[in-house]
Amino acid sequence: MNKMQHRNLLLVIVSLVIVFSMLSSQEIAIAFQMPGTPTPAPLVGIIEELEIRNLERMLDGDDLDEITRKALEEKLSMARSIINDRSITAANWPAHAESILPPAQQYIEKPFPEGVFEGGEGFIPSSEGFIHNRWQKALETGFIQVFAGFSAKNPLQGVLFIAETSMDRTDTKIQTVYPGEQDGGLSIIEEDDGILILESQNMLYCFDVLQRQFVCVVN
Amino acid sequence: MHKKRLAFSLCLILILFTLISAAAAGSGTETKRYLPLVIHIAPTPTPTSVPTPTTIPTPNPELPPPYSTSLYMKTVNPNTLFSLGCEYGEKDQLSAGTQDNVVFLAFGKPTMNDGIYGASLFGFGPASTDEIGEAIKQFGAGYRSCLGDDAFSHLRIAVGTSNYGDPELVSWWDHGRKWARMVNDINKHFIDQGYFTWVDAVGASDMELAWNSPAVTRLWVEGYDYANKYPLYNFGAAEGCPTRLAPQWQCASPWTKEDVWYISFGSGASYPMPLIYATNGVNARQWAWLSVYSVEQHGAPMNFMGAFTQYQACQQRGGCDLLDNTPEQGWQQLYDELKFDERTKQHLAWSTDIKWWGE
Repeated sequence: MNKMQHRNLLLVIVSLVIVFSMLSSQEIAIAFQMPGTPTPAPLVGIIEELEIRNLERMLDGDDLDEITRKALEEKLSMARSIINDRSITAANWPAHAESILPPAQQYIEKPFPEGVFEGGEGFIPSSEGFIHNRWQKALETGFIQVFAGFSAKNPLQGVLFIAETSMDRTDTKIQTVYPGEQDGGLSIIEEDDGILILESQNMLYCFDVLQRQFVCVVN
Repeated sequence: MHKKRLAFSLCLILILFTLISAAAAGSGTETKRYLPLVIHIAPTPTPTSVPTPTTIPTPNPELPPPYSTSLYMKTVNPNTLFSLGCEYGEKDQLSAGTQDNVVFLAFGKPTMNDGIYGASLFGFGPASTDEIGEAIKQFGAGYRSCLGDDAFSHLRIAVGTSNYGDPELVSWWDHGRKWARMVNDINKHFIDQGYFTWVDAVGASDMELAWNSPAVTRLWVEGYDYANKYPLYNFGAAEGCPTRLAPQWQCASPWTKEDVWYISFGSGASYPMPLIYATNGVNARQWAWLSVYSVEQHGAPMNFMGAFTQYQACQQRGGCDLLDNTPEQGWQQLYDELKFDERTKQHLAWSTDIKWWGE
């Protein structure tokens, strides 16, 4: 081969090396994939990979106290374990997703708890009111809960939140009712035939749940 | 002759480069290497037997990621949870690119009835940890089922309770331990069923300073940390805690910064994914300042998993005057505040916004 042939051959080889190195990325491999060729394994945790790198870097720090070092080591161990388990189950892909079926048995909801209970469960946003207690009952059409407490904007203003939820539990409507007096937060003492007996600092109230109104006040 | 060979070589190179450029269009991430490669240009691959090539977005780390929708749950009906999981799976499958989200399913305050631990379902329960665990397994199965041939997307389920409740009525340490065991069992199931690459679970608790004492809340976290194999996300607020603008503030008594740091990051299990709901940015400033405290007192910043907002719940029920950050606002406020101090600046992977299930 003369000098020019050598040069041409070299040029072709260099080009092929460049081309192959470009082709070796996963995305290009996918783009050229033929039906039936092996597919790449799923990714097993970009966020965990970042977290692991971050924790390793933090653990290199000299200023860590012992409790933090121990905590970071536990976090690192968890992240590595998650990555490891993900790698194992990644081999299950492609799986027959269609073969995963919902439970065959119909679920029957447990009876709705009825009576007076402490606290509001976070059902009412704390930006709206602080709840002392609640009364709740199942109705033919759904469920009713009456939350008693005081307004978040004014602790002297008692308030009732009445939540009515549909039978399938997917729809809740909330109504707010205030007593006329500003005598502090309300608490439910008892319920009698649809009438709630409530107390504030110095007053007793009767509240008709069906009518959604206070029907008596005793000083 | 030489000119012809040179021209031939150049043409060959040109053709190959054109093909590679066309193939590479749209891809953007370097990952595993596959050699040797057989180049096959035609016919067009049959879509039925080959997974859709997935492009992995390279998001701008300065901008909020797409948010997920988390749920306050009033049921543990396994059929309902399977359908819900399926909805999330379908959404991820139909979305362009690879999805990686966290969804919090909050089941209400801890309960203990006749020695059985569980959560209140916001007055509709209680449901035992066995029932909640089964519900989450079905949610995961539904997700995987409807994810179809999307090989790359992933969903993390944060199984949530709270620190709300009577200090005397629940054995808090034991409840934390049971919650951790429930999460372990859920993940074991996902591994055994082969779903774990696409769906996994962590523990979560809405730990609010106004809802219980630091002693009780720490007990629960320690119980979780005693038995856990998976993390615990705190999605509470840091009421009253100081900020860079108000360093003289005190966390809601009797809580201290150290207590909030411990339950959110100082415990080996814990990570913060805090509630950033105030439109004036105070929540973000409080958490960022806690991270500064973490650097100065413990030698490392807190690693935040992301930001948690309640915009959709506010839309459903109202009454969130100035406490209804959109998910984008919440994420951006936290990101910007953490960036304020170079020592606490970090990537925030996730954004989620909660609403009431079904409403």
